[in-house]
Amino acid sequence: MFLKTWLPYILLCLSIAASAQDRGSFSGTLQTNVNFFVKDAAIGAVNIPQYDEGLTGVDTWLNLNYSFKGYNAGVRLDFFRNSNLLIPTAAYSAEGLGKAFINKRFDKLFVELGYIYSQIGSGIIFRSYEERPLLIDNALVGARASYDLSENWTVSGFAGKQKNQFSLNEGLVKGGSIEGYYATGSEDTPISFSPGIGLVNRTHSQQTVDRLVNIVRQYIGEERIGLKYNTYLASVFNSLNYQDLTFFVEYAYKSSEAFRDPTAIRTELTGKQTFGKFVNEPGSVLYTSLNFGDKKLGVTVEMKRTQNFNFKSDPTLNGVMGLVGYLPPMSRENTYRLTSRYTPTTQDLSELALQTEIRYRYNKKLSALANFARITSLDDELLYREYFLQFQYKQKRKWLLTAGVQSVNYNQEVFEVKPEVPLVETITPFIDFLYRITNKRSVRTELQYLRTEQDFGSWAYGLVEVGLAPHWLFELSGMYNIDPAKGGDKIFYPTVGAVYNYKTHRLGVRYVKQVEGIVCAGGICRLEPAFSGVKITLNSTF
Amino acid sequence: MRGVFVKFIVVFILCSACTEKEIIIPPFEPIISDRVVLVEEVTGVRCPNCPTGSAKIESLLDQFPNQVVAVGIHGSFLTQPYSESKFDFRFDAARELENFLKPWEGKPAAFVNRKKFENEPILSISEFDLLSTYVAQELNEPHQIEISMSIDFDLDSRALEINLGIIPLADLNGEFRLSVMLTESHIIDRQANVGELIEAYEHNHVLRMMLTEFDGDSFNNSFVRGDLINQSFSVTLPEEDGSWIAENMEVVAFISNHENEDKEVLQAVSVPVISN
Repeated sequence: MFLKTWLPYILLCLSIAASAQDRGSFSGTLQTNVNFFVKDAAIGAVNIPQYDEGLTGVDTWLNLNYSFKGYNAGVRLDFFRNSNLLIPTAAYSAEGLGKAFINKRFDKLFVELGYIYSQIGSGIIFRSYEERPLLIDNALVGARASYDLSENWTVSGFAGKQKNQFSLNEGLVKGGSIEGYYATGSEDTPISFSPGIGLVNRTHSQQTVDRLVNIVRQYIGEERIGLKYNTYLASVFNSLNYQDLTFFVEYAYKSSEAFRDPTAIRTELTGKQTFGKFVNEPGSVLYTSLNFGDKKLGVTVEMKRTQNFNFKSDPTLNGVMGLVGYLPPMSRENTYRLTSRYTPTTQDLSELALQTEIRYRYNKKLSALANFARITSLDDELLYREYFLQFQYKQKRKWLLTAGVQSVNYNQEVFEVKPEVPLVETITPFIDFLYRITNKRSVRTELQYLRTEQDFGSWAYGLVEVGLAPHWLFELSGMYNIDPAKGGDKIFYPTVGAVYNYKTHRLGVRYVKQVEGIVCAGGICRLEPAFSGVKITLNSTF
Repeated sequence: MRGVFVKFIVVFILCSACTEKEIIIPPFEPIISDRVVLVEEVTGVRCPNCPTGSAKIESLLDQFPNQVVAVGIHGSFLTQPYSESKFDFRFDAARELENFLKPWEGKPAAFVNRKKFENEPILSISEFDLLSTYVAQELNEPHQIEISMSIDFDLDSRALEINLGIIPLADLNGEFRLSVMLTESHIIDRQANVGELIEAYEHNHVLRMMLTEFDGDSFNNSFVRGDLINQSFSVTLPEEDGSWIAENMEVVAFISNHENEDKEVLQAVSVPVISN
């Protein structure tokens, strides 16, 4: 069975590799994650098939690319066994062709066939992309072409069905854009514009329409909504550049379509009222960002207003599956363990968000960064607020000190669908110190303390990382529930790991105990259960 | 070049202005059938979306009177009682049954006759508004086995005797199993809901006991049309503790075919422990 599934791909890869010895260029990447699940009821790492039966999970992506005389082609083979990436509480096993493409530029014309990754504007009405930590891969399987109308203007179009692991979602997605560049002003004070317009149309398959009809026919009286095969989206965007200033604005509109609103109240046949039903509404997003940057000061202000913009290739799909567009996240992408513990999920039905970041460099040694984010629903319900302040001091190449504090208000009831839980309020001071002993030896330490009276209570986190360049990196860290809320237990979550680098290959082995929390990748977040076990990762580029 | 840009906008306005006919949604019509369909729901007291799922199952019972048997399985996931909860609905067979019905994407998830439907990627159904479509599909399938059940319950000793009569309506081959279980309704206890905790939530069709193995007892590999098969079960109900109230309990029995790694239910029946 294994060979039957894989043999054609392997033969294809070998033939590409063989020809690569003579001409053209051949490259590839391999990523493998192996998880060993060790049950730990104390931290909640139980009741998931991997802990009860599978015990081991494997995720592998083998990517092979070949370029020859302007032709680019590639395949990716994906392999999953007892994987917890697709649905964190279930085991997913499958293997097959994850991606295949060929493209070529013919002077002004560019043509691509296969699994297409692309976007229009900032991606609001269309973005096909991959986020492996959440197993999102919504490539469009079809064709794309673009044509350079002039040196500064390009028109493009695409059509296809959206990938859903090893099958295709039913809806047919078509679209196009025209994007350009226009400069004016004097030589000393040039002003440039990068305007664009994008259009997308999705046509439901008969199967999806039948499914929607069967759902909607259960609705009574006025709650019954109209259904159509087609939905249209359009976005207009422009980036204006003037000296150190960049101003980007995009407005996207979606025509009326049926989508699931989990907050809408539905009357059942029995008269009882429940949450969640399909509604038929138009949607819109307004996104704008203003950037200013010179040698000393950098300022970014972003604003986004989202209303009813849940757009999927098949609206009956759950969670993040089937998303055609991408709504830019409006909070800081934090990297430290405790400052990233409470991260907001983008709200596609009702969100008003504002984010400001100011960076200032006093001198070569000292710099500061301040960030403020506020996200509410359109009804002004506070969803998320963050104040972040960080200082960095660099002593030549010898040591680097980073220190700061973060304060967060996080609406756990909305983001994690936990009933009657209060707004989580945190204050998190942190310090990060990197010391280079020699050119090849370094030690990095982190200390963080998250104080909160809600959720699991307060946490302390410490990390020691020893780097022995060019090969080794050792990590010892621990997260401790120092002041548990609701009479919970004081639990220690240790991590011990080592990473070995050899040329373009990287092997990591980590023993991990990880508390339940939100995991975000590329602006999309989801709640993941606790993890207990060993994680092995291998990354290779060749 | 600006002309091309303007043309592009004009084309879109023309396209989006095209009026598309709305799809006609046919009304629901009752189905005449002797089949009785089993609808199982994996649920839990800490599952905020489960009250919505349970309400939809009540609608289903209303929509298909005497044609649907409902069972709520409180296995492992999101089932740990709150410290304020009065009852714990978990027990070993419920946990095993919840595992047996995997994979499901999350809770609530429902199973109609434990059958994988053509448009569903897995056995479980997470879009509860589609349940009635699948129940209707099942009611339109040929009726192959009839199950009759009689119950004798002694109020003093709480001894319960169950007698089943199974009549094949066609010659059938397979790996058949018989499942018999006890469910209880009208249990008032705490339940998570979206945005709130409901202190006095009414839990219905809660699986309380299995009288066979969790996945059924093997009992036959072939049925001959018209040949009656009798089966008996007896059990003594636990003492009442605010639950285990005989008036609120039902005996559920069903036959499933486990041939070719399947688990499809052919026919179900439910009878109250105490008939009015």
